[in-house]
This record gives sequence, structure tokens and C-alpha cells, in this order.
Amino acid sequence: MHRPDAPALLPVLTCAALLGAAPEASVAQEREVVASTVVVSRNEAALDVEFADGDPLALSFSDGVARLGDEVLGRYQAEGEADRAWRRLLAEVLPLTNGPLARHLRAWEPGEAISGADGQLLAEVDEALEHALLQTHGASARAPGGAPQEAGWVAEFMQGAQVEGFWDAVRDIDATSFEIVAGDDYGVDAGAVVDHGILVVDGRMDVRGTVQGDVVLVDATLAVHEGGSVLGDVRHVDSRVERMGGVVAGDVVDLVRERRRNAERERDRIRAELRRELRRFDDRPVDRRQPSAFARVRGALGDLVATAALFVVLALLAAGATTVAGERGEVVTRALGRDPAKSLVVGLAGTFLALPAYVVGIVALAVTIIGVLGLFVWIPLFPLAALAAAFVGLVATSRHVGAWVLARDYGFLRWANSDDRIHVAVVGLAALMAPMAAGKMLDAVPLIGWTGSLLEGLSTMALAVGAVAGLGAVITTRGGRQLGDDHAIHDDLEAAAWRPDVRYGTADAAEAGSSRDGATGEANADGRAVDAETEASSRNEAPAGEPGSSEGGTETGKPDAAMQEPLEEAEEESGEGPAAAK
Amino acid sequence: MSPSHRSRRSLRLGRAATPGRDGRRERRPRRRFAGVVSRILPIVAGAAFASSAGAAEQDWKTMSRWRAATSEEQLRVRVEYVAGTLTIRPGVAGTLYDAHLRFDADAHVARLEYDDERLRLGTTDKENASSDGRGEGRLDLELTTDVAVDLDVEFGAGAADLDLTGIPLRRLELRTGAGQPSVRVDRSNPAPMETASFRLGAADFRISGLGNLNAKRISVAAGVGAVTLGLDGSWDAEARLVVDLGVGALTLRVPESLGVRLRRAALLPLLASWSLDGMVKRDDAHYSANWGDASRRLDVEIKAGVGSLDVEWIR
Repeated sequence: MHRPDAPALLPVLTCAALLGAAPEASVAQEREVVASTVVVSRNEAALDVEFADGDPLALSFSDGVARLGDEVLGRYQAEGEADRAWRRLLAEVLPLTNGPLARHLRAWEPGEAISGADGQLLAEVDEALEHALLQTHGASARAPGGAPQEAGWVAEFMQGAQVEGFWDAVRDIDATSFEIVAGDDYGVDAGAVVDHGILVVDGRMDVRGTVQGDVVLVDATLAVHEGGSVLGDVRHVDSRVERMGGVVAGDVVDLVRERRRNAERERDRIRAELRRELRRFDDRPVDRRQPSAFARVRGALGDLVATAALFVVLALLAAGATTVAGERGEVVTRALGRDPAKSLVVGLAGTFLALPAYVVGIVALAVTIIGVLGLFVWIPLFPLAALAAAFVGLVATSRHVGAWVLARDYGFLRWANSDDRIHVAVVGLAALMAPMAAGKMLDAVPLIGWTGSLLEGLSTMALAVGAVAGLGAVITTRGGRQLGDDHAIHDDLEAAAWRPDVRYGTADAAEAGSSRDGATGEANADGRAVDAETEASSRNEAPAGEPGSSEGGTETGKPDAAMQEPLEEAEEESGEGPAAAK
Repeated sequence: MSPSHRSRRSLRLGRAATPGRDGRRERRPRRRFAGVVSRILPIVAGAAFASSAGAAEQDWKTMSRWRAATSEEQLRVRVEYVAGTLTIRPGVAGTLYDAHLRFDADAHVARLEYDDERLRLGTTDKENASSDGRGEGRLDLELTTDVAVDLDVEFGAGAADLDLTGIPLRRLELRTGAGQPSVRVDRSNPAPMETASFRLGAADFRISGLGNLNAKRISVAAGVGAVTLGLDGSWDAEARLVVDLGVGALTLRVPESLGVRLRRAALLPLLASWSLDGMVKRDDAHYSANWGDASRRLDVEIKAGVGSLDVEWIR
């Protein structure tokens, strides 16, 4: 084959034009249906029909709006007469296919009893069905939303996508060597041999003999009967090829489908390129499948293990921070317990001011000659120091929480030594993170999975608030070097108040002091309780061992002497309190 | 299409057309974790239940799609169905496929796509579904008898009834989670098949006419459950059947005319009970009495963990 000259196509166009000159020559015929879809749900009742020539018909009643394709036909009331009549029709056509389906749809009458808007809408639907099912080459074409318009075959042919398929079909043929049949049937009898190609437009070709050339079909049907053969290729547009026992030796190419495949391949190529581009930014695989119950449980267990690992890391860091911070940590903890609101406010202020302070520090150092060298220390160490301060604050918060938990005397926490600061901190940290772990597990439970996220959020918020408040305590105690100016640091009862082995939360310290050991408490000038007996015992009886050892406070409320000593040292350093007074 | 085929099809028209008929619509979602929740988070559970109560009314959706066979040369079918009742059977001449899917749109997402000789259909669970809807849904599928079919079925739970008689199967793969799937092949597969594969999780599985699959190799792997394999049918001359059973009972229904050689490879022989009446042990295999002069022979290899094996002879 070779590419045709323009004049070579003239016969084809001439034939087409001749056909187009007689638009009503071919009367309306029932169109062949090759696929149908019915969808019915609470809010939707839709019918999709696909005809043999690839044309679709889509009629839907959905959410109060009736549509023909994208065109709105009208509105309807759910469960109203139009809705019911349409659903009845769908129920009737459901068992039907092809011819019976088309005939039933054509024969459908919405009923004269239905009047008003519903009746008008159903009339529109009926008209749309009639038009779609009877649309033929000679039939009238319906303009969207308007009245039917008369149009010739050629006009219709050239308007649609068929024209592109037509050019695909005739592009490579030599019209001078092709026999062209337009608007008519063509037959090759048994025993006959056709040694050239044949182009059939709008007709039927029955082959019982042999066709040695190619066959090109445009809106036509080729039937190769038993004993018949086509030795060349068959290329067709909007046509059908029926192998009725015959043979097609060459390729059978549906040019419309081929065009679609090429378009899809092009789309796939573009999609693949987009995906490759996206992968540069995000290599994570996208899994849109709904997770199964097993996958949810597996995911929850994985999250739980991750949470446990985080806890272990934080617990180790807390133990290290408790050991390294030493008595400064005690001071911070006590300051936090004494005035948590103030610590929180100061911590918030410190958090918001940290970045400006960091920047100001950099600028200040940068503008001075000597300070430039300090930049090398300031830039890396300031963030680290801020984080360390916040973590020490979190540990202080954890110790308060841990003391509160251990005071509840839960059986499963018997292993924890309430006098061991590390134990107390770890228990407190566990209590703060427990809702997070529970949340991870709840994520696997249907319906209430959202509560898991809620618990995780609460746990995270508690940790954050604890860290911020602790940071505030670190700031107010100047890194644990001293308690605030307005704090009476000789108050042993307060020192004991956060202790795990003492009843926690005594609002009235004097009352607490008297209730624990029967000693008479007395209030100092600013209303804080001073227990002379416990103070004395703390100074005289406690061993000079490790601060916070179990030898100190007991359930009777005796103060922790080891804990008191560093306090006194701190007081002496600050020049305040009774120790300094002595 | 014969009336008998079509008479099975029906359409539920939802609330508008059949108001009040579907009594199941008022079914409330199950509260599986009520006990735990009531102890741990009563307030939260109350809120969750209250939020789901509004969605108690299920939204049943029906999708039916039919397509005629035109110039297709094959049909590749993939069915993914999570729960409910699944049926597959041969369609009438001229039909490529005819699918009827009914599902709870609140609980499941449906797929019914055809393109380029590929058909994909079924349902998957919807995330955060407000209702269950399992067991009441259906997928009825009729497949062409005109062109070769590759059939890949993944079935979650429920009942599955596959009548593959007359469907020209070129490839068959069936995977199930739990449920009672059954397969029947009453006539010889018109298409040659290389491999048929059945992967069963915890299911009671039954197949008849295994020989009619016309497959050279058939593999059956079952985790837990009862498996009944009907070895009737016209076996390929070189057919081989491999059964891998974890825990459960395996029953082989063997036609008396079929020569069978059975090799076993029990992982835990002491825990596997074998009842091979009518078979003769020779070397490391059991042979049917007619092995020497049978016109059709079948090699069966069985790997069993814990359970029983019974051979039933059928005329």
C-alpha cells in the first residue's frame, strides 16, 4: 500500500456526498445495543447503554436531578411519581439485553396519568430514549437542549469522531486499486476470487469466496462465512467483523479502539512521568486499599512497639538527667510542685522567647569582634541547652506524677522504690505516656478508633505541658540553683509533699503535718506550715547518705534529711532562709 | 438468554420503589467491643454509639452490567469480593459477561469496570464503615462461553458457588479467606489449561468435576478446614494434582475408572490419619487397583500437617 493522493479519495468522498444528499434515504432503525448498566440505590437510579457504534446513552435520576448525559432534563421528587416510574422501568429492563432491551425502552410510555412537572420530565426521558434508540444515519440529530434538527449523513459523519476514524481507515489505501462500495451491500460468492481491496461504507459485505486484498470498513459489517477467506488485513471503523466459520488471514484492526489505546498509552506515559516526578519528593508507596482487621491490628502493634521504644529511650534519658542534675533537679522539682501555675506561665514565656533570644544572641555576638568567636559556641549550644532544660523540666513533672501514682499503692508497681528518684521519674513518665499506648491499641478497634487519636493527643499534650512547666521551674530556680525569692525553702513539709511515700495533695500543710505523725503543726508568717519536730529530725537523725535515699521520709511523714541538706546548701548560697539565718 | 437464566435476576429498587419492604434496613451495627469499652471508656463509647446510630439505615445499592460479545478474543476476569454470596456461572451465547452486584454502600465500595478485554469487579470494605452489611450482599456473575477466559477470584468470607461448566477457562485461580466455597465443572473445559490453583484459608471447600478443568497441573493449598475434591471428569493425560493441607480433613472422591497413584509427604505423619481403603501400597506410593490398565491416570501428591485423609470411591 502507499499513501493516497488527494484525488484518489475523491470517489470515496463523492459516494459519501451522494449519500448525504439523501438524508432520509435510510429510515430509522433500531440501534444495536452491546452493553447496558443499571445502577439503583437509595438516591440514584441510572441507566447506561452502549451502542454498537460506540455511542453511549446515559440517563440518570440522582439526588433530585434527572440528567441525559451531562444535560439536566429536570428535577424530581424522591419517591415521587417520576422517580417511581423511572425505577419501575429499570426493574423491567434489567433482565433484558440487546434487541429486547432496545425495544422495551422504545415501547416504554410513562403514562398519561402522570401530569405536571413529573409528566413533563418523563416525556423528556421518553423522547431521549426514542431518539437515542432510533438514531440512524438518515435520522434527525438532536441539538443539546433544543429541538431536533435535520442533518445529512455527511454532516453527521463529519461532525463526530467518525471523521478521524475515517481518515485513519483510508489513510494508507490506494483508492484507484480499491473497489469502493457506499451505502450498499456487497457479496463475494463461494468460489469467487477478488484480487483487489474493498472499501465498504455504510453497508454489509458477505464473503463466501476469497478476497486477496485488504478490506476497509466504515460503519459497515463484514461477515466471513464458512469457506470464505480474506487474505489481507481488515481495518474497520464503527463496524463489526463476524467470523462465521470463515478465515481472516491478516490482522483485524479496530481503528477506533486503536486510537483509544494510543490515547490511553499516551495518558499512561504522562501519568508515569508525573509519578516519577512525584517520587522525587515522596518515595512512600501509596496504598489506597482499605486496611483489613489483621492489618489494623498489625499496625497498632507496630505503633505500640514504637511507643514502647520511645518510652525506653525517654526513661533512660530521664535516669541520666536525674543523676546528672543531682540536687539541682531536686530544687527544680520542688519549685514546680510549689507553684505549678507560675512555672507554667514562665515556661510558656520562655518557650516563646527562646527563639528571639537565640537570634538576638547571634546578632549581639556577631556585631562584636570578640563575640564572633562565641558564635561557634552559642549557635549549637543554645538549642541544646534549651532542650536539656525542657527535658529536665519534663523529668521534674514526671516525678510529681510518679509520686502521685505510687502513692496509690498499686500492686503492679510494688517493684518501684518510692524513695528512688529514678524509679519515681520512670513511673511518672510511664503514666504520662500510658494514654498514648492505649490510644495506639484503640486505633485497631473499629468504630471507636478515633478515641485512640484522642488519647494520643491528650498524652502528647500532657508531655508538652509538663515539659513547658518544668522549663518554667528550671528558669525560676535559675537552673536549680535556688528556689524563688518568695518561697520558704526551709519548709520540710513541702519538701515531703511531692514525695511518693507521703499522702499527696494535702492542701493544708499544717493539717497534713499533724495528721501524719501527730505532731502539732504551726503556721509561719506567710501561712505555710512548719513542723518543728520533722525539721529537727531531718537535721539530726537522717543519715548523710545519698540524697533521696529510702532512709529519709516514711509514711509517718518524717522528712527526708538527705533531701533537706542540699536545700539548705542552696539556701545558704542564696543567703536566704533559716539556714542562712543561723 | 434462556428464561431460566434470566428469571434469577431481580432488582431491589431501594426505598423509593419498595418503601418499607426491607425489614433489614433497621438493623443496628454490632457492638463487638461493648464489654471492654464499658469498662474503660464508657463516655467515649456512648459518644461513638450515638454517632453511629444515625447511620443504622443501610444504603443498599444494585449495579447490573451486561455486555455482548463482539470481536473480543479473550476475557480476563478478576473478582475481589470481601463478603456475601458469590455465584459464577456460564452465560448464554453472545454474552461476554453479565454481572449483578448488590451491596451496602455504607459499608463497601464496589468496582465494576471493563476495558480492553479486562473485567474487574467486586467490593472492598469502606474505611470507617458505619454498618456491616456482610452476608446479605450478592455478586452474581455470568461469563462468556465464546472466548477464552482467565479467571482470578479472591473471596473473603461467606458462600461462593462457582459453576464453571462450559466456560473456556485458560487460567483459574481461586483464593478464599473463610467461608464455604464450592466449585463444579460438569463438562470438559473447552480450552486447554496449564494450571489451576486453589488457595484456601480457613474454609470448607468442595469441588466436583476436577478432571473437567482440563488442566495439566492443579494445586490445592488449604490452611484449616475440610476439603473435598471430586476427581471425576476427563483428566488430561499428564495431569498432576498437588494438595497441601495444614490442619483439617481431606476427602478424595475418586471414580472407579480412574487410575490413581498417591504419594504422601506428611509433615507430622503421626498426627495425620490416613484411610486409603481400596488402594495398594507399593514402594513409597499408594496405587488404585486399576492403575495398570486404567485409560486415564492421575498422580496425586499430598502434603498434610495435622488431620485426616479419606478416599471415597464413586461409580
